[in-house]
Amino acid sequence: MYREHHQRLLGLAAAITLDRRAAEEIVQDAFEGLQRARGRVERPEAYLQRAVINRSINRQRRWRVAARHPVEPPPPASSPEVDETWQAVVSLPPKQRAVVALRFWHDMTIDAIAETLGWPAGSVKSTLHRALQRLKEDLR
Amino acid sequence: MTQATIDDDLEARVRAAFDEMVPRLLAAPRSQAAQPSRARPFAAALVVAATVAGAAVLAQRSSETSGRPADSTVTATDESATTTIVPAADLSWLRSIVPERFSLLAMTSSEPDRVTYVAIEPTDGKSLEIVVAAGASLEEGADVDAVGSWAETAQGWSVTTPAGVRAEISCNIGVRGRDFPGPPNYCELASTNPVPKAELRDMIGEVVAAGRADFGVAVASTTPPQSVWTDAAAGVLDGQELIGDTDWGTGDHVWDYAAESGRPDTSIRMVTGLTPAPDHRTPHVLMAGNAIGLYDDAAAFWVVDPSGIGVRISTVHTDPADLDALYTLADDLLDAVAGPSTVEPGIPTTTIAPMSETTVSVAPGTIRLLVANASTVSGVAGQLTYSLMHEYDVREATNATVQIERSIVYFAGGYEDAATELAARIGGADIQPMPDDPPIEGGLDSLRGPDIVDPAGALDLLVLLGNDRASEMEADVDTAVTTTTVSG
Repeated sequence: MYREHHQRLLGLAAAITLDRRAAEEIVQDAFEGLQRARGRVERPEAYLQRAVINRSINRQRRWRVAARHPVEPPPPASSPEVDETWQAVVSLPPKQRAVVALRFWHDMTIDAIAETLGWPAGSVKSTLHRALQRLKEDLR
Repeated sequence: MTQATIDDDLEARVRAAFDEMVPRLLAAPRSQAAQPSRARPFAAALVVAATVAGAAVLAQRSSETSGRPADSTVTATDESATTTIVPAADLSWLRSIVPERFSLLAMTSSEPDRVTYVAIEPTDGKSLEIVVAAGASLEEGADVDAVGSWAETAQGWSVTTPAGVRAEISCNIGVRGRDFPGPPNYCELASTNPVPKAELRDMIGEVVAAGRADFGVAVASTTPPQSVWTDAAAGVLDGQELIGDTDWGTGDHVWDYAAESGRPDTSIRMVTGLTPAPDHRTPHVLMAGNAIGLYDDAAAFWVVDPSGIGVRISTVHTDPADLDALYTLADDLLDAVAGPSTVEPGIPTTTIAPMSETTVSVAPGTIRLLVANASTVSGVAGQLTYSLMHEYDVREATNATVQIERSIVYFAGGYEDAATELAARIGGADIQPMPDDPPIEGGLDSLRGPDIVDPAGALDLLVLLGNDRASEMEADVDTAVTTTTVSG
């Protein structure tokens, strides 16, 4: 299971936290949590995904609290368009970025995202709507 | 161009950005240097020592040695610090020897014939220093028993075994007060959660009996450049001069400052590799009132980061304002070497309350809590949830289906005391048993998820945040919860 899911989860955590080391830590913690909860978790894959996303969102929130410590600058992009788009993605609040990543990067449906995050589908829709509005404004 | 086309274009751009940039994030440069383990079991060292000493009493005991530290290191370098991270050594054998309140352990140096360990008590600044060295000669002394030759030191004990192993233990807080009249061992002060010397003797005897040491293995280290210290100390330690910059071990550095030469007023120590690392930076302990950490004429505290790096500051300047500035300094230093704090720097996050008569049978970290917004102020349930996330097993904040003036804490069976405690913590609330159908959006079913199959019984506490608490939080998010920083 570790080999199968590690890289995908690592990418998801990095997409939300924007920090490789934080992402590695979060994914490791999630697998350890699964190990501790073994026997009580019916769907380990869903558990891992939810744990990684929630931890990533919370981690990113906490980092933002310390405003004097900016998020590390993103690596250079291959084109101005990608760079501009990524800057807009990075500026999204972590929850919105998480939903955008799941919807457009992981190609998940609204219902699947809702189930993964444990949110009502309406909350997913409204979060995604706000994120897209913001992206559109930033990329206008 | 239609709206759908615009959205498709945006989605494609976003997808392309994730596709390209996330792998780049994950591939950000780092250097890795495999380092073969030089670990060898205590047994081997003891056999050498025993040959020298002509005895092999302890060599037999060391046959149980196992679980060596991992054999590689990862070195990460940035502008702030050079950090060598190694997997935590297996210190479970030491865990069973030192008192439980010395909750964090580290191996701070390891040479082919000498290893040092530290056990720290995070909240009152004490530390136990343990040294095990091979190749010692048996000393002639009056205090000799089956273990070896014992000698009392100013802050502890040493014992040299017939096998040629010398083990020492001491307890300290870092500095000594200028006017302290008694023996220079703050750990023995009756008013400060003392560690009697007799216990230290027992402990080091058990260390020897355990027959364990980790000679010549990689040790975690963090070395912040001098500028980090001078920048952080500026304005905090004005009037004091850096008189000592000492490596006590690979993962153990001490900087001493003094207003007068010769004796430090303030001592700052950084230890790397503390285990088990806390899941968030250990909170600020206010050095006031009956809070622990105050000695007769000195104060000491540790701040420990989830990275396993801890900073101890001990000082003879015990004015609360000075101590608060020193806490900020500790936080800044940890920020510099381990990344930013999980709490607002410089803001007291936790006060130590007087010991309560109430016995709490459930550890707060295991209590499952949901905060629902039943007020007219948006966002407050999330704020309160975030402020409580380190102490409770919190669920994602939600909205209540009702609006109320006075906040309510609902409790499941057996959690009434916890509810009372939480109600006081948030500034006051009514306490009521958990209803079968709590007034939260989506009901209990909204809690269902991959890790919650049966939402009935999935909550121990439910806070309905009414207008009373919400308006306070809106007015001042930093003080709405009196003992915890509210953020986000």
